[in-house]
Amino acid sequence: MDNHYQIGKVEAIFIIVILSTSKLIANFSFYFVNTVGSGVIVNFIYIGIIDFAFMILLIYLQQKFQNSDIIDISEQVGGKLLKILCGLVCITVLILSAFITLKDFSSIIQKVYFSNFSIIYILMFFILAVLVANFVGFKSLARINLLIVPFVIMAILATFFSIIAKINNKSLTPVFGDSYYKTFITGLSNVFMISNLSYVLFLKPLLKNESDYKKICIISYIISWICILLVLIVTELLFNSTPSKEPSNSVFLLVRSVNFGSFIERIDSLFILLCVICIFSYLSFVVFLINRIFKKLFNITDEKMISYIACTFLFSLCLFPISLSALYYLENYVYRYMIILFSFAFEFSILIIGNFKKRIRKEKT
Amino acid sequence: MKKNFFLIVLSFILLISLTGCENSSIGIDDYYFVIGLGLDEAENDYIKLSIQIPSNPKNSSSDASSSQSSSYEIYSVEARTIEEAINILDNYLNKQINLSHCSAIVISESLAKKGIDQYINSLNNNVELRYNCQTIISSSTAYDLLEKVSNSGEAFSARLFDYLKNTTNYTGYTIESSIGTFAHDIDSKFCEATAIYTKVNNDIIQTAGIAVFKDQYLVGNLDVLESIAHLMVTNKLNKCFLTMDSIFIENGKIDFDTKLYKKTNTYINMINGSPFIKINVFPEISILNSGTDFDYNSSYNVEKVTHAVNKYYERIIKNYLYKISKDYNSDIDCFQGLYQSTFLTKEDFSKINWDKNFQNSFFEVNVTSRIYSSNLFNKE
Repeated sequence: MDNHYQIGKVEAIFIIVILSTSKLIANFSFYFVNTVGSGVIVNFIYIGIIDFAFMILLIYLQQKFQNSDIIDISEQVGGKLLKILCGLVCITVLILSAFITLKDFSSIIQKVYFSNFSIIYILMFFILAVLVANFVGFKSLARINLLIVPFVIMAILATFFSIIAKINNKSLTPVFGDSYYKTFITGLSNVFMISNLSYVLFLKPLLKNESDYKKICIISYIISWICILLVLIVTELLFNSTPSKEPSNSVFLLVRSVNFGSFIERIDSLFILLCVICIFSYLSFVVFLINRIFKKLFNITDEKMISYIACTFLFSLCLFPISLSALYYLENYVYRYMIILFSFAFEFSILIIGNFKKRIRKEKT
Repeated sequence: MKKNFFLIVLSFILLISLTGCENSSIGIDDYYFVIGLGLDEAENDYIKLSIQIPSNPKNSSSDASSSQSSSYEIYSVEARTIEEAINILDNYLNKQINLSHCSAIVISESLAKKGIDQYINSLNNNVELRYNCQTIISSSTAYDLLEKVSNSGEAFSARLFDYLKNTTNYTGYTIESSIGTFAHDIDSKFCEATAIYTKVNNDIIQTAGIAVFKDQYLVGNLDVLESIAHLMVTNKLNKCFLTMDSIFIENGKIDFDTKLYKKTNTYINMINGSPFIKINVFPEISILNSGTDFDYNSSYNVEKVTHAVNKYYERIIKNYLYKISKDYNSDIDCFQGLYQSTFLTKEDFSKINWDKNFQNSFFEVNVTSRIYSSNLFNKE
């Protein structure tokens, strides 16, 4: 296991992009457009500006903490107790995100391609791959991710251009959606969509060159923003102009409708393969981050053991029978507000208190 | 050594388990691949589902030129829903019905008038069905249309369905109507659905315009000239041929083909609560035949023909627009979508009450055609 490998600029950017765009595979894009309707573009620009401002603030607040992630900072702020608390919160957020994505996607795979098989085999397929990837090490993960992300971006572009040519783009108007209140006040809860803020705080100690941190954050943010926007636009075009239809998985239905003339059609299986690879990469990074947090919390040296525990826990969680309505509630409410609280309240309060403490200490000395 | 042995064993396991051969009960021979699916109404709120499936070629050696050559059989069943009907057929035929090669969904006019939302949703949810499978409305029964495919001269009915769709490119007599866009439009908030309309005459199937829907109900159909007008208004006209009375000779005719040299412009205003829709169309005309008395070298003559063509198109397009608004109250040209784009919020747009007022629309059509080429090598 080579988990002390330090990543370069491009690798770091691609890791953040895969972490933030993978959630599109679950039904989050539909929940987003369902909140704001045709005001999707304006709302996404609006929340994009808010998220970006917060990220710049976050970079500024993190400047004083050299080579530290959110766990290290919480230790400096509130000692071991806060460190454990922060670690557990981070693990909860990561596990829940991974659970929702894996559960949602494996259900779709089962429904569409393996209806005669038990979901346990599909979950095992994912979990084993994630386990093996974490055994091989962070270096391989980061390097393989370099190969995956360009294909993900290409797939998003292909989906966008195929659907935009077919569907009447008038469903993107009126540009401010149902009402200003819905777009700017209710739609504020959509800030959960760009979840870069949840991940960049783990990035600093993994970097080869810490001075690139600001650049990495901004570039990865812009790429993720564009990718998510393109998917949101086609989701709005395809689903939100039809009030009686609510897709249980919008991404599958999106890729199903992709065709270029009558020669290239039914390429959904190709896209699903890409989604599978994307999910592998995403889950592997999530498990890697959980490993790191556990290691820091309890000073464990054997990372293999933590990988086993994390993967087994995720696997067991996914086996828990959960109805579609419960999954909808988890995705649309629990995950949405959890990410908002974690990114905009929890992380920032730790950073602000940390900065405040440092200033007091500096004034004293 | 141990690692290599492990990898070899793993490769064998993967080879056997991932080829799909482990479950020998499901192979390609165990499916019936449906080419066309028909829906008719039956008694007691039942539907009659008909499937057209290829059967073995009668003489494969004599017809080796095409691998697709085949005869086909039609099976029908009455049931309450599509899924139930497919289930009964699965049981009856002892093979699983597979819709992945289905080229057309044929719905009878009488069933379409009663509303087809639930059937379209059911089909659209079927993962086997292709997104671009065509939706066809038959003036007679769907079963009749599927049966008449055998008289079309086509050895393989999927080709015929493709031809029906492709005619839009060179005749403009109908539109392309994939199940994906049809299912989308049928539930759309600002655009009504359309489908290919076919007639069965003397055992021959022919496209006869466009089927017009209001919500999920078929409200009428457009003839071929109105279909051309629809394609012009929606900017989807590829090419079409028309014949009109000659302005030079009594009882003479002028043949010309038309393309659009510029995109159609549409402007919408509300005047006294009624939509005023102004449409500017820009056709490019090539005269194919006009009799012996027409001198192409005279700019005066060309101007006269241009003027006549403009008037002709204005009349066709106006007739079409008043038909969809007054007779059918169906906004198949998505005027609502265009007009709502001029508002900032839906709250503001809802005050217009478009659904109610669309029927009161009045239109101004301006056609600016240009004769680009006579397309003739010899004067007649």
